[in-house]
Amino acid sequence: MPLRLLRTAPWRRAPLALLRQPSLLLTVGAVALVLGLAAAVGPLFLASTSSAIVQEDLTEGCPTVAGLRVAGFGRFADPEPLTVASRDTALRGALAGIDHLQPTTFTAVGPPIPVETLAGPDDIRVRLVHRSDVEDQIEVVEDAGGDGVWIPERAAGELGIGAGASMTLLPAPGATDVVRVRGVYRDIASPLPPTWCAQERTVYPAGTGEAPDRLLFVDRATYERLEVAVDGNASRLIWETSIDQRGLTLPEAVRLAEELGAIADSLRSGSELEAQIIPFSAQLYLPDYVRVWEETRDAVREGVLPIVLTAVAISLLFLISVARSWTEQRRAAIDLLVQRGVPPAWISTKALLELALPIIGFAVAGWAVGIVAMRAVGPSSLLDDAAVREALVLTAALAVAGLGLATLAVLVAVRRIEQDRGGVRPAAVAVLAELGLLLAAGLVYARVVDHDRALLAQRGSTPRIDVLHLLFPILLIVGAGAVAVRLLVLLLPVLRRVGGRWPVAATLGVRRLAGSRHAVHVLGLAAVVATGLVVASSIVVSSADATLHAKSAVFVGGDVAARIPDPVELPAPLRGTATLVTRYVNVSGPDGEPADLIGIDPATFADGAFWDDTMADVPLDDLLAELGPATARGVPVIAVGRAGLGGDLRLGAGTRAVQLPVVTSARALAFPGERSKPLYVGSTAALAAFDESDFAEVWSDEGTAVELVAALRDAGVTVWGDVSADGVLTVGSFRTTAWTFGFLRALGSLIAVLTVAAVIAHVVARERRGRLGYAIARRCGLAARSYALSLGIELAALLTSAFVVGGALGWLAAATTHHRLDGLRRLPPAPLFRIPGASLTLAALASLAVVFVGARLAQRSSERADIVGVLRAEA
Amino acid sequence: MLACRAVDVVYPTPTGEVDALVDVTATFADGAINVVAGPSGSGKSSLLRLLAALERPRVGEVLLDGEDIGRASRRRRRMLRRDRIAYVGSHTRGALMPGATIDDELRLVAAVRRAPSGWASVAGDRLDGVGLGDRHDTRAVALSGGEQQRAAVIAALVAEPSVLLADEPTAALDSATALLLLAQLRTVADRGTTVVVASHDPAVIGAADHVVNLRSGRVVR
Repeated sequence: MPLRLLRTAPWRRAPLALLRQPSLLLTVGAVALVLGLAAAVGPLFLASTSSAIVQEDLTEGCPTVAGLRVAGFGRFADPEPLTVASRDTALRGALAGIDHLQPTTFTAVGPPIPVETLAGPDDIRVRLVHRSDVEDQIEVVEDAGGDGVWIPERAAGELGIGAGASMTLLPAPGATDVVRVRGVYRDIASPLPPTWCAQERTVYPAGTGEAPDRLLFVDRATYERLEVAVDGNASRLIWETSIDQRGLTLPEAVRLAEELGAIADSLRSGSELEAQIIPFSAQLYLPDYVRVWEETRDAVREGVLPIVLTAVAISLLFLISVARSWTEQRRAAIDLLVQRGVPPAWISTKALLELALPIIGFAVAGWAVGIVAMRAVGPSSLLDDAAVREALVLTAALAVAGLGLATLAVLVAVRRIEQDRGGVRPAAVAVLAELGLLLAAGLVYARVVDHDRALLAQRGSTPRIDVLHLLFPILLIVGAGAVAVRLLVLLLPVLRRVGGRWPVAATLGVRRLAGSRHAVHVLGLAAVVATGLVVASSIVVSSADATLHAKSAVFVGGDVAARIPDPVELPAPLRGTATLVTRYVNVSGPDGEPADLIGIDPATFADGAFWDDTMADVPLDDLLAELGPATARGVPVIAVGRAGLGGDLRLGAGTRAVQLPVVTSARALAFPGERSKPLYVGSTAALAAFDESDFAEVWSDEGTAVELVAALRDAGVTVWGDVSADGVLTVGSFRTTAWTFGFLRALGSLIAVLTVAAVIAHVVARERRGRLGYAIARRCGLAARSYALSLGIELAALLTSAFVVGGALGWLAAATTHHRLDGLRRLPPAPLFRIPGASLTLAALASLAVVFVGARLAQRSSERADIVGVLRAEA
Repeated sequence: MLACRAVDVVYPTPTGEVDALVDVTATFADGAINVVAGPSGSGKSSLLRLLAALERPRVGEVLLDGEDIGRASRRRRRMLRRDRIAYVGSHTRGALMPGATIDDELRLVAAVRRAPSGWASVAGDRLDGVGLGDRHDTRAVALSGGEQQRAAVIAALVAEPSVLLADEPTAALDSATALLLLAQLRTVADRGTTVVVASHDPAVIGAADHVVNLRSGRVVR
């Protein structure tokens, strides 16, 4: 065909032809936008999750540990050239110009120094510490201003002094040094704040199970003076350069790790820098963090990839459907061109020219929407530039591929128009494809069961979603959904016959359904797939969330917990929302293996402890009722998890060990306070009769850790530390699951939105085509109310059936995989199954309402049309 | 010479197959106006689509200068439609490309058929002849059904096809305008074109050189 055809009107005007058909333009645009979004969202989501991993780990973890730490032993009084000042200058010079670093903090930790007490020399010792910017890193309780030292609240209480007082240090036998107390600060204790998290050895020199050390913060001059006076070992000098995580993306973190790694290497390699710092060692964990982050990103990518491919495939199928719609809307022109001998390739070229701008333009708009959406609702708003560019390239490539596919679909359709008959019936191909999908789902599940695959496969240090667990729900929902919808569509003629005896509105609604079998099939399948994916992924995400919270809460005991030295009576504000628990460390079970033992108060336990009914075969009240005072046989205990059935427990070690005879009065699968060891639970009173606990905890299921600690301190209780369920287990395994299935849920929602739009577009198009029929029906006496009611019956029947079928398939897919959903198998309890029924029902009702309102608006335009005018125009 | 020999055309429907043409044998003379007459539903349009290489017979032959175009390849049939056979459908709306002007339509057909230079003036004269001389730049949507029918016939004649098939070309025309169109058809027939018109219009039948009568898909004498 000569190229001069391109100069004729149908081809020349093709690029802007869709502007004259807004409905088709909008349909093409919506599908292309979704295609662009589906293509772009993969790299954008990975960028967002990567940033979230970096941000969460550095914000909730310890940015100081991730950063560069240079430490060694030395003195302020060391001779030139290796003084503290020269080392400081060399290190700061090497770090200058590197982005995303906090200012370097210097800490000098000296020896413990006895303090003179009112009662004479005692064993109260404070540890000499100098730290730059210390006032920004402590919680000030009392400040007298001026010069002086800072003492911890506990030491102030023990010494009976406050801000503005003097205290006498005894740095050496016979030597005294009187210092002014400038202020009192809150004891630095676990969980350590970000600026102290790398100083665990400084805060807890005797171990984290002990009380925190009494750190005496002094200025540099006082430190130097006391350092000389003590005349003991050299001080530990530490330079810490934390990572400034603000705006830090994974690619930037990789670059930062390389830059800091080069400095750390040069400190070990005999370089000029090493000569200036020697003999100090460099410690840098950022490369290890980066490796874990990259592994987590790769794990998420493995899970996201099949979802993205599914989304793209569904978008392309919709695009093919739109191409078929283009063929139908251009049927008159196509017939004319076919009659004149124009080859199908040239007719499809016209389609290509008409669809190119909308598809590529809206796909790029989809990319832009993806960026905005990811910034707004993604795991993190930080998207690195490379990912944004990659997303654009992928979007453009898929838009071009989609355009090619749409053109091909038009070519095939035109060839069928030209040929009029022949070929394999598409329905037969579709049935085979649907059965194939169902078979594939069965094979995937069989493989999952055969190999006893867990949802999460550990590879490296990061758990990864097993792709088969993602493929199974998708294949099951699409395959079984397609077969179910096909069977339902086969029932439509029967429904039409039966519906003939029903009231007018019902008859009309049923006749419409039966009269548009193709549309019902396509829209019904789309609604089933969307519902199925949303239900399955919502259940998985809810179950993962619930499981994570349960594991965290079981680990902590309640939502929040505070560690205190000794059992106390619960302060009044905490009664009803908290419970006291005593803990024994160094416990051995009957088999000699390490175990945990806690004492609880059965009367208040339910007030503050976490509990889920799946954690025991009997209700909590029945379990607690089994705990009572010691009998002649021993202390009644609940044996949890792997805990043995009988025999004595041994408390403590060595000569101070105590034998504790216990009687297992009940068993539980999991129990609050359980960690990785077998757990025994007795009543606090019964256990106290045998031995003192090592420390106590207050658990609460209300409020925050800060509020709990404040309530205890207000009541005069010393608190050593606190922990909350929210922060204890933000681990990669659950992140991978939650993000991947959250992404699947987003895909389901996307298809749902597309389906809602398609249903409305279908009704709009039908109303336009059916104006004449409606006009005649009105002339024949059809009431507008019956007409509106028929629309409601039609849409309700279509969507409710889809919701029921899709919901059942989604539930089935989630139920068959959820028990493998355990990112931390070693921690109790077993995975929980949670159906977010209220939100799913609300989403279904909202979808139904939007569809009905949209369709009703379209219908009202038909109702308002002048019947006589329509009859004349259409005649 | 255009002819069909013992052709059957069957259409599948949801309730079973429908015989559109049964054992139809007819010959359509070159350089003459041949009319396929018969009431609605008698198979006139089916026969014209068969002759236009747009349908295939289930059995029988459709011969164009001895070549069985009913059995020809898709590509060959397309080439015949492009180079030798012009077909004008029965629908008044949709006889022209939507959104195109009459000139656009003429240029399109000329481009498809690689019309020799000078086609434009011939087409212009023919438009004058059917009363559309001043409507060159009018879009199809602005033309009446009758005007579209006339314009479609004139467009079909661009590049002088050897066969012109027109389905009810005067259905939307008044008698005076129908006569103008018939005069054009006579002119092209006189120049050797095989003109086949499906119609039940007595004026058209009266102007025919040869009439094939159809009833219920069969030829009747």
